Amino acid sequence: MLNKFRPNYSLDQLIDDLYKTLSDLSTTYEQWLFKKLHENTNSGDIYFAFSLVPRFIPRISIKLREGCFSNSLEELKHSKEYWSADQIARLIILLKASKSGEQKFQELLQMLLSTADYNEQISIYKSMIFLPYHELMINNVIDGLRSNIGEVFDSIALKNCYPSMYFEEAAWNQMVLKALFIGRPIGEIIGIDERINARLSQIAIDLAHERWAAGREVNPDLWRVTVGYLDETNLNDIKRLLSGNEKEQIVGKYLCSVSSVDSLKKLVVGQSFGKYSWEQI
Amino acid sequence: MNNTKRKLIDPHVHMTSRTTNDYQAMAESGIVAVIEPAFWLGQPRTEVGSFKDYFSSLIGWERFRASQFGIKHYCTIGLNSKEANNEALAEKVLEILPLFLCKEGVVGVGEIGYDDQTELEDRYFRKQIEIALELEMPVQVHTPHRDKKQGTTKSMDVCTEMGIKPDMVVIDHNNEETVKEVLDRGFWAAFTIYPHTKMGNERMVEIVKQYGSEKIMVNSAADWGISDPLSVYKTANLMESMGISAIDINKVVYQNALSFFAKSGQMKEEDWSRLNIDQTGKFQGNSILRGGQQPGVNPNIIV
Repeated sequence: MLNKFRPNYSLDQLIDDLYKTLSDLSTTYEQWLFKKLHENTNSGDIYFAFSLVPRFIPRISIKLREGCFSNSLEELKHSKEYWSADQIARLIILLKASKSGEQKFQELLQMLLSTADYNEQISIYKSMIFLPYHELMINNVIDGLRSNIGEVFDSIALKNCYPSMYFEEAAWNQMVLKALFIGRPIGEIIGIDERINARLSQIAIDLAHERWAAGREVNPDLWRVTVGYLDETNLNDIKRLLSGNEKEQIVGKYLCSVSSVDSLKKLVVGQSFGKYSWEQI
Repeated sequence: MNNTKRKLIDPHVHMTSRTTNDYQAMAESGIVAVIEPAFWLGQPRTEVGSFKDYFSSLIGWERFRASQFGIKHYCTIGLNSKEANNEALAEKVLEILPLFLCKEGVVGVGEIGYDDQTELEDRYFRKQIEIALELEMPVQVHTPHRDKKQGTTKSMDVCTEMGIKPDMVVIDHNNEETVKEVLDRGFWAAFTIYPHTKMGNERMVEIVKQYGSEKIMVNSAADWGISDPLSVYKTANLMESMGISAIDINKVVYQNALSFFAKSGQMKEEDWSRLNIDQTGKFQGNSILRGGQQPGVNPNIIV
């Protein structure tokens, strides 16, 4: 387990900043939400407010107000750009609701998730790391990854630091494997390089072999999660990459260059190909 | 038939019970949007959780499945008449209805009404009209197969008694015997075109000839039984070949359904003009595409 997230801002400060973020877009959005949340306090009303958001606050992208989340986003490598107005409104609702205490809030979140449409699910999963008691929701987040709806999977797996901070190895590996399997851009998984492990590397190599055997293409990005774990037994895999298409060749060379295994290093001896990072590849 | 494809809406179809082949054929025929009313699944449910998961699938998985074929999916949520007869269960279902009715893309309360016309059916029909009034939502009324004529009249009587405007109610599964009263009283009239039963498409053409196209709409009500998800398409074609004007056809197979369900505030023409089909980007492997399948580049084909 990596570090747990401990925010360096207060709940009220965040709620205030988010309200301002909404009113920067339109004061009517802020006013509707404010009214909704001050009229109503029981969980049924909160539930309705959560459902009703898109009728009053549109799904348009939004620029976070400076200082919002303090500097936590940078620290978390959590994307600043990916919120929409309705998602910010729903985050405010959840933050306010969390004041009812651990148990009540847990119950509300469970209820919301079990009846959520997919935009609601996406909002909740994107917000999760910022919600109080979020460390108690690991199993719900893992469950969200089982969705066959790509956008729901993406809202957890990509540009979201929750998995890298809270998932055990098995759950982490399953998430990365599913992302590879369904062709998601694994470079957008936060912590992808930091959480490489022997088991994940082997699973990825097995997947590559299985795809090759079926005559299907293997996205060269797959090899990103094998870095540090390739050895002599992978010599043929690397040779195959080196004789593949342009991107495969670059990936093959890169893998050899960062390897500490002599037989792999030798494959690219004397060749210069500049410096690559996965982002450039 | 036509080179320029006619846009169609099927305002009553149970896609949960249909295959992807149907979606494909419907998209090819010109169906841009469907409305799926919550209904009886054939096997009676015994737990409220079954309803909860069913409602969730209408706003979740089924909506997603439809989007993969370029079809915009909406639903109506309600307790159907058959299962209203299980009082203990019905009470619990009524409790969870409000959780779903305010969700995006829920365009009404439905399908509700009478089956055996029992007291319990009556009680839950009324309770659900009350909810619709509170939320200002349209109502989709199922009329009984047996004792249809009186059952239809009674359904409208109850609506009037409860104070919901006829303009907010569509009475479904009409026939030659019921349509006049429904229209005269200001309700919307839907016709289900089932192969062999209820209404055939020729009979439908005659009805439009006689009553015109105001407040009339056609649906397939295709479900797990013998039914035809292309009923709306076929009826439109037959109307055309029998000399009904393009304007009238458009109303009956598209515009009236849109005008009626748009009253929910949850259905707009832009919803499907902007819908783009993305089987490649987001959904491969274990989604609707099985290992190795190639996604369609257009709504038509999954190789």
